[in-house]
Amino acid sequence: MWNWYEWNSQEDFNAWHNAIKAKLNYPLAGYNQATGELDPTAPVTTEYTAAQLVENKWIALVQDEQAEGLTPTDLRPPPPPPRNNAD
Amino acid sequence: MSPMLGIMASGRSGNLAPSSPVAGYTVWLDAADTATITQSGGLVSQWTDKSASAYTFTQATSANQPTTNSDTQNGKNVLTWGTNDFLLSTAASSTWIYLHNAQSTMFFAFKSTVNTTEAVLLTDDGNTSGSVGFFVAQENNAQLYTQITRGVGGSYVSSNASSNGVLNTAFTYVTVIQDATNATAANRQDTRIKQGSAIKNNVQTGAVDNGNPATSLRIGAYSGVSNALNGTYGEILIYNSILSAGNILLNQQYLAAKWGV
Repeated sequence: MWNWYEWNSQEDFNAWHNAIKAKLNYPLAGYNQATGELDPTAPVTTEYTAAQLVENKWIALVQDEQAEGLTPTDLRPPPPPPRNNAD
Repeated sequence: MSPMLGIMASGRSGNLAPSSPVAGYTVWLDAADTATITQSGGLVSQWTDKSASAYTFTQATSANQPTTNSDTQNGKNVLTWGTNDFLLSTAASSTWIYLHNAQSTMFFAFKSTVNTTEAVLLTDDGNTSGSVGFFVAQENNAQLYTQITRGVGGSYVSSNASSNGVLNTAFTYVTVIQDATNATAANRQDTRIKQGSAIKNNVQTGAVDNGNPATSLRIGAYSGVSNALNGTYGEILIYNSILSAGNILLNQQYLAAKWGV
Protein backbone atom coordinates (compact mmCIF):
# COMPACT_ATOMS: atom_id res chain seq x y z
CA MET A 1 0.00 0.00 0.00
CA TRP A 2 1.24 3.45 -0.90
CA ASN A 3 1.26 6.05 1.86
CA TRP A 4 2.67 9.53 2.36
CA TYR A 5 6.11 9.88 3.97
CA GLU A 6 8.09 13.02 4.59
CA TRP A 7 11.62 14.45 4.33
CA ASN A 8 13.08 17.66 5.69
CA SER A 9 14.62 18.72 2.41
CA GLN A 10 14.65 17.90 -1.25
CA GLU A 11 18.27 16.82 -0.89
CA ASP A 12 17.28 14.26 1.75
CA PHE A 13 14.53 12.99 -0.52
CA ASN A 14 16.85 12.81 -3.53
CA ALA A 15 19.39 10.76 -1.60
CA TRP A 16 16.72 8.31 -0.44
CA HIS A 17 15.11 8.19 -3.89
CA ASN A 18 18.38 7.42 -5.64
CA ALA A 19 19.04 4.61 -3.17
CA ILE A 20 15.60 3.03 -3.52
CA LYS A 21 15.80 3.20 -7.30
CA ALA A 22 19.15 1.40 -7.24
CA LYS A 23 17.76 -1.21 -4.83
CA LEU A 24 14.72 -1.85 -7.05
CA ASN A 25 16.75 -1.82 -10.30
CA TYR A 26 15.11 1.21 -11.87
CA PRO A 27 14.49 2.04 -14.65
CA LEU A 28 11.92 -0.73 -15.09
CA ALA A 29 11.03 -2.00 -18.54
CA GLY A 30 7.38 -2.54 -19.42
CA TYR A 31 5.69 -5.76 -20.52
CA ASN A 32 2.69 -6.26 -22.74
CA GLN A 33 -0.06 -7.37 -20.41
CA ALA A 34 -1.65 -9.74 -22.90
CA THR A 35 1.48 -11.62 -23.91
CA GLY A 36 3.91 -11.02 -21.09
CA GLU A 37 6.52 -10.07 -23.67
CA LEU A 38 8.87 -7.18 -23.06
CA ASP A 39 7.56 -4.15 -24.92
CA PRO A 40 10.60 -2.36 -26.32
CA THR A 41 8.45 0.41 -27.75
CA ALA A 42 7.02 1.43 -24.39
CA PRO A 43 8.77 3.99 -22.23
CA VAL A 44 10.48 2.64 -19.15
CA THR A 45 9.46 3.57 -15.61
CA THR A 46 12.22 5.91 -14.55
CA GLU A 47 11.06 7.20 -11.17
CA TYR A 48 9.87 5.31 -8.12
CA THR A 49 8.01 8.27 -6.69
CA ALA A 50 7.95 12.06 -6.82
CA ALA A 51 8.29 14.52 -3.96
CA GLN A 52 6.16 17.58 -3.49
CA LEU A 53 6.54 20.47 -1.10
CA VAL A 54 3.49 20.71 1.13
CA GLU A 55 3.41 22.86 4.26
CA ASN A 56 7.20 23.07 4.33
CA LYS A 57 7.67 19.32 4.20
CA TRP A 58 8.80 17.27 1.23
CA ILE A 59 6.30 14.47 0.96
CA ALA A 60 6.06 11.52 -1.41
CA LEU A 61 4.08 8.35 -1.84
CA VAL A 62 6.02 5.25 -0.80
CA GLN A 63 4.97 1.62 -0.55
CA ASP A 64 4.94 0.62 3.10
CA GLU A 65 7.28 -2.29 2.45
CA GLN A 66 9.89 0.12 1.06
CA ALA A 67 9.49 2.69 3.84
CA GLU A 68 11.80 1.32 6.51
CA GLY A 69 13.35 4.20 8.42
CA LEU A 70 11.08 6.81 6.87
CA THR A 71 8.75 9.10 8.77
CA PRO A 72 5.07 8.76 7.90
CA THR A 73 3.45 12.12 7.46
CA ASP A 74 0.46 13.19 9.48
CA LEU A 75 -0.46 15.79 6.90
CA ARG A 76 -3.92 15.62 5.58
CA PRO A 77 -4.20 15.32 1.84
CA PRO A 78 -3.26 18.69 0.35
CA PRO A 79 -6.09 20.95 -0.71
CA PRO A 80 -7.09 20.95 -4.34
CA PRO A 81 -5.27 23.38 -6.59
CA PRO A 82 -7.08 26.60 -7.47
CA ARG A 83 -10.22 25.83 -9.40
CA ASN A 84 -11.38 27.67 -12.44
CA ASN A 85 -14.98 26.56 -12.30
CA ALA A 86 -17.66 28.96 -13.23
CA ASP A 87 -19.52 30.20 -10.25
CA MET B 1 -48.75 -5.34 -36.30
CA SER B 2 -48.32 -9.06 -35.91
CA PRO B 3 -46.15 -10.34 -33.07
CA MET B 4 -43.50 -11.43 -35.54
CA LEU B 5 -43.43 -8.08 -37.31
CA GLY B 6 -43.35 -6.39 -33.93
CA ILE B 7 -40.16 -8.24 -33.04
CA MET B 8 -38.60 -7.40 -36.37
CA ALA B 9 -39.65 -3.78 -36.18
CA SER B 10 -38.23 -3.36 -32.72
CA GLY B 11 -34.83 -3.15 -34.39
CA ARG B 12 -31.64 -3.43 -32.43
CA SER B 13 -32.18 -5.11 -29.09
CA GLY B 14 -29.85 -5.50 -26.16
CA ASN B 15 -28.67 -8.76 -27.63
CA LEU B 16 -27.82 -7.07 -30.90
CA ALA B 17 -25.79 -4.19 -29.53
CA PRO B 18 -22.78 -3.23 -31.66
CA SER B 19 -19.62 -5.16 -30.87
CA SER B 20 -17.36 -2.25 -31.81
CA PRO B 21 -17.62 1.53 -31.75
CA VAL B 22 -18.74 3.66 -34.66
CA ALA B 23 -15.86 4.26 -37.08
CA GLY B 24 -14.05 7.56 -37.27
CA TYR B 25 -12.72 7.83 -33.72
CA THR B 26 -9.55 9.82 -33.19
CA VAL B 27 -8.86 8.10 -29.86
CA TRP B 28 -10.00 4.67 -28.64
CA LEU B 29 -8.61 3.51 -25.33
CA ASP B 30 -9.87 0.08 -24.32
CA ALA B 31 -8.77 -1.48 -21.04
CA ALA B 32 -10.48 -4.74 -21.98
CA ASP B 33 -7.88 -5.19 -24.73
CA THR B 34 -4.87 -6.03 -22.60
CA ALA B 35 -2.62 -6.03 -25.64
CA THR B 36 -2.84 -2.23 -25.48
CA ILE B 37 -1.56 -2.07 -21.90
CA THR B 38 2.08 -2.04 -20.90
CA GLN B 39 2.69 -2.90 -17.26
CA SER B 40 5.38 -3.96 -14.84
CA GLY B 41 4.22 -5.70 -11.70
CA GLY B 42 0.66 -4.62 -12.47
CA LEU B 43 1.57 -0.93 -12.63
CA VAL B 44 0.70 0.63 -15.98
CA SER B 45 3.39 2.64 -17.75
CA GLN B 46 1.50 2.99 -21.04
CA TRP B 47 -2.02 2.72 -22.46
CA THR B 48 -2.04 2.75 -26.26
CA ASP B 49 -4.90 4.13 -28.33
CA LYS B 50 -6.42 1.78 -30.92
CA SER B 51 -7.04 4.45 -33.58
CA ALA B 52 -4.82 4.69 -36.64
CA SER B 53 -2.81 7.37 -34.82
CA ALA B 54 -1.89 4.96 -32.00
CA TYR B 55 -1.48 7.75 -29.48
CA THR B 56 0.35 6.68 -26.35
CA PHE B 57 -0.55 7.78 -22.82
CA THR B 58 2.28 7.15 -20.40
CA GLN B 59 3.38 7.51 -16.81
CA ALA B 60 7.04 7.08 -15.86
CA THR B 61 6.64 7.33 -12.08
CA SER B 62 5.52 4.20 -10.26
CA ALA B 63 3.66 6.11 -7.56
CA ASN B 64 1.46 7.73 -10.20
CA GLN B 65 0.75 4.66 -12.32
CA PRO B 66 -2.72 3.10 -12.49
CA THR B 67 -3.01 -0.64 -11.92
CA THR B 68 -4.09 -3.32 -14.36
CA ASN B 69 -5.26 -6.89 -13.92
CA SER B 70 -6.67 -6.24 -10.45
CA ASP B 71 -10.31 -5.29 -11.19
CA THR B 72 -12.90 -6.31 -13.76
CA GLN B 73 -16.25 -4.98 -14.93
CA ASN B 74 -18.65 -7.38 -16.63
CA GLY B 75 -15.79 -9.87 -16.76
CA LYS B 76 -13.48 -7.48 -18.60
CA ASN B 77 -10.26 -5.93 -17.44
CA VAL B 78 -10.37 -2.32 -16.25
CA LEU B 79 -7.58 -0.01 -15.10
CA THR B 80 -7.70 0.82 -11.41
CA TRP B 81 -7.07 4.47 -10.62
CA GLY B 82 -5.68 5.49 -7.24
CA THR B 83 -5.82 8.93 -5.72
CA ASN B 84 -2.55 10.01 -7.34
CA ASP B 85 -2.64 8.34 -10.73
CA PHE B 86 -2.69 9.84 -14.20
CA LEU B 87 -1.53 9.09 -17.73
CA LEU B 88 -0.29 11.80 -20.07
CA SER B 89 -0.40 11.85 -23.86
CA THR B 90 3.02 11.88 -25.47
CA ALA B 91 1.59 13.82 -28.42
CA ALA B 92 2.15 17.57 -28.68
CA SER B 93 -0.52 19.57 -26.87
CA SER B 94 -1.47 21.10 -30.22
CA THR B 95 -2.88 17.70 -31.18
CA TRP B 96 -5.80 18.32 -28.85
CA ILE B 97 -6.78 21.89 -29.80
CA TYR B 98 -10.06 20.70 -31.29
CA LEU B 99 -11.21 19.66 -27.84
CA HIS B 100 -11.48 23.31 -26.81
CA ASN B 101 -12.03 25.27 -30.01
CA ALA B 102 -14.13 23.07 -32.29
CA GLN B 103 -16.47 20.07 -32.34
CA SER B 104 -16.00 16.76 -30.61
CA THR B 105 -17.91 13.81 -29.19
CA MET B 106 -16.48 11.81 -26.31
CA PHE B 107 -17.61 8.67 -24.50
CA PHE B 108 -16.31 7.45 -21.13
CA ALA B 109 -16.93 4.11 -19.39
CA PHE B 110 -15.68 4.45 -15.83
CA LYS B 111 -16.33 4.38 -12.12
CA SER B 112 -15.32 7.05 -9.65
CA THR B 113 -15.60 6.35 -5.95
CA VAL B 114 -15.39 10.10 -5.31
CA ASN B 115 -18.62 12.03 -4.91
CA THR B 116 -17.53 14.74 -2.50
CA THR B 117 -14.78 16.43 -4.48
CA GLU B 118 -13.73 16.75 -8.09
CA ALA B 119 -12.58 13.59 -9.86
CA VAL B 120 -11.10 14.23 -13.30
CA LEU B 121 -11.88 11.93 -16.21
CA LEU B 122 -10.01 13.81 -18.94
CA THR B 123 -8.42 17.23 -19.29
CA ASP B 124 -5.82 19.34 -21.02
CA ASP B 125 -6.54 22.37 -18.89
CA GLY B 126 -3.79 23.40 -16.51
CA ASN B 127 -6.29 23.83 -13.69
CA THR B 128 -5.11 27.34 -13.03
CA SER B 129 -7.02 30.52 -13.49
CA GLY B 130 -6.60 31.68 -17.04
CA SER B 131 -5.46 28.42 -18.61
CA VAL B 132 -6.71 27.15 -21.96
CA GLY B 133 -8.25 23.74 -22.45
CA PHE B 134 -11.16 21.67 -21.21
CA PHE B 135 -12.04 19.15 -18.55
CA VAL B 136 -14.60 16.44 -17.92
CA ALA B 137 -15.08 15.54 -14.27
CA GLN B 138 -17.30 13.88 -11.73
CA GLU B 139 -17.82 16.84 -9.45
CA ASN B 140 -19.03 17.61 -5.94
CA ASN B 141 -22.50 16.28 -5.18
CA ALA B 142 -22.25 13.59 -7.87
CA GLN B 143 -22.49 16.03 -10.74
CA LEU B 144 -21.12 15.52 -14.23
CA TYR B 145 -19.17 18.69 -14.97
CA THR B 146 -17.57 19.81 -18.22
CA GLN B 147 -15.88 23.08 -19.01
CA ILE B 148 -14.00 24.78 -21.86
CA THR B 149 -11.58 27.46 -20.74
CA ARG B 150 -10.20 30.32 -22.82
CA GLY B 151 -7.19 31.73 -21.02
CA VAL B 152 -9.17 34.38 -19.18
CA GLY B 153 -9.82 33.99 -15.49
CA GLY B 154 -13.51 33.95 -14.67
CA SER B 155 -14.60 33.79 -18.29
CA TYR B 156 -15.35 30.57 -20.13
CA VAL B 157 -16.33 29.28 -23.52
CA SER B 158 -18.64 26.85 -21.81
CA SER B 159 -19.34 25.45 -18.38
CA ASN B 160 -21.94 22.74 -18.18
CA ALA B 161 -22.84 21.29 -14.80
CA SER B 162 -25.53 18.69 -14.37
CA SER B 163 -27.87 18.76 -11.43
CA ASN B 164 -26.69 17.04 -8.27
CA GLY B 165 -26.86 13.29 -7.93
CA VAL B 166 -26.90 12.24 -11.58
CA LEU B 167 -23.82 10.09 -10.98
CA ASN B 168 -22.97 7.75 -8.14
CA THR B 169 -20.03 5.53 -7.31
CA ALA B 170 -21.08 2.69 -9.61
CA PHE B 171 -19.56 1.88 -13.00
CA THR B 172 -21.33 3.86 -15.72
CA TYR B 173 -20.84 5.53 -19.08
CA VAL B 174 -21.36 9.12 -20.16
CA THR B 175 -21.35 11.07 -23.42
CA VAL B 176 -19.92 14.56 -23.88
CA ILE B 177 -20.72 16.53 -27.04
CA GLN B 178 -18.88 19.81 -27.65
CA ASP B 179 -19.49 22.55 -30.18
CA ALA B 180 -17.28 25.34 -28.86
CA THR B 181 -18.23 28.04 -31.35
CA ASN B 182 -21.96 27.46 -31.39
CA ALA B 183 -23.73 30.82 -31.23
CA THR B 184 -26.25 29.41 -28.75
CA ALA B 185 -24.58 28.99 -25.38
CA ALA B 186 -26.68 26.01 -24.36
CA ASN B 187 -25.54 24.13 -27.46
CA ARG B 188 -21.83 24.43 -26.71
CA GLN B 189 -21.73 21.42 -24.40
CA ASP B 190 -24.24 18.60 -24.13
CA THR B 191 -23.72 15.69 -21.75
CA ARG B 192 -25.66 12.47 -21.26
CA ILE B 193 -25.65 9.89 -18.48
CA LYS B 194 -25.96 6.46 -20.07
CA GLN B 195 -28.77 6.91 -22.62
CA GLY B 196 -30.41 9.72 -20.72
CA SER B 197 -31.61 13.05 -22.02
CA ALA B 198 -29.31 15.93 -22.94
CA ILE B 199 -27.88 18.07 -20.13
CA LYS B 200 -27.30 21.55 -21.59
CA ASN B 201 -26.91 24.10 -18.83
CA ASN B 202 -24.16 26.35 -20.18
CA VAL B 203 -24.73 30.09 -20.14
CA GLN B 204 -21.13 31.16 -20.79
CA THR B 205 -20.51 33.00 -24.06
CA GLY B 206 -16.75 33.58 -24.13
CA ALA B 207 -14.96 33.31 -27.46
CA VAL B 208 -12.67 30.34 -27.95
CA ASP B 209 -8.91 30.67 -27.65
CA ASN B 210 -7.23 29.10 -30.67
CA GLY B 211 -3.92 28.55 -28.92
CA ASN B 212 -2.62 25.25 -27.60
CA PRO B 213 -4.11 23.78 -24.43
CA ALA B 214 -2.19 24.19 -21.21
CA THR B 215 -0.98 20.59 -21.24
CA SER B 216 -1.20 17.59 -23.46
CA LEU B 217 -4.16 15.31 -22.81
CA ARG B 218 -4.23 13.92 -19.27
CA ILE B 219 -6.32 10.93 -18.24
CA GLY B 220 -7.60 10.68 -14.70
CA ALA B 221 -6.18 13.70 -12.85
CA TYR B 222 -4.87 17.22 -13.00
CA SER B 223 -1.25 17.86 -12.16
CA GLY B 224 -0.62 17.64 -8.45
CA VAL B 225 -1.85 15.10 -5.96
CA SER B 226 -5.56 15.73 -5.95
CA ASN B 227 -8.60 15.39 -8.18
CA ALA B 228 -7.71 11.92 -9.45
CA LEU B 229 -10.43 9.63 -10.72
CA ASN B 230 -9.99 7.23 -7.81
CA GLY B 231 -11.98 4.41 -9.36
CA THR B 232 -11.74 2.34 -12.51
CA TYR B 233 -11.51 3.13 -16.20
CA GLY B 234 -12.83 0.84 -18.92
CA GLU B 235 -12.88 2.84 -22.11
CA ILE B 236 -12.53 6.26 -23.72
CA LEU B 237 -13.68 7.17 -27.23
CA ILE B 238 -13.06 10.57 -28.84
CA TYR B 239 -14.26 11.86 -32.22
CA ASN B 240 -13.27 15.20 -33.75
CA SER B 241 -16.83 15.85 -34.91
CA ILE B 242 -20.35 15.74 -33.55
CA LEU B 243 -21.75 12.30 -34.24
CA SER B 244 -25.28 11.89 -35.51
CA ALA B 245 -27.94 11.01 -32.96
CA GLY B 246 -28.07 7.50 -34.37
CA ASN B 247 -24.33 6.98 -34.07
CA ILE B 248 -24.29 8.38 -30.53
CA LEU B 249 -26.95 5.83 -29.60
CA LEU B 250 -24.98 3.03 -31.26
CA ASN B 251 -21.90 3.84 -29.21
CA GLN B 252 -23.99 4.09 -26.04
CA GLN B 253 -25.48 0.67 -26.78
CA TYR B 254 -22.01 -0.70 -27.48
CA LEU B 255 -20.71 0.56 -24.12
CA ALA B 256 -23.80 -0.59 -22.23
CA ALA B 257 -23.54 -4.12 -23.55
CA LYS B 258 -19.79 -4.39 -23.28
CA TRP B 259 -19.53 -3.15 -19.71
CA GLY B 260 -22.84 -4.54 -18.46
CA VAL B 261 -24.33 -1.25 -17.32
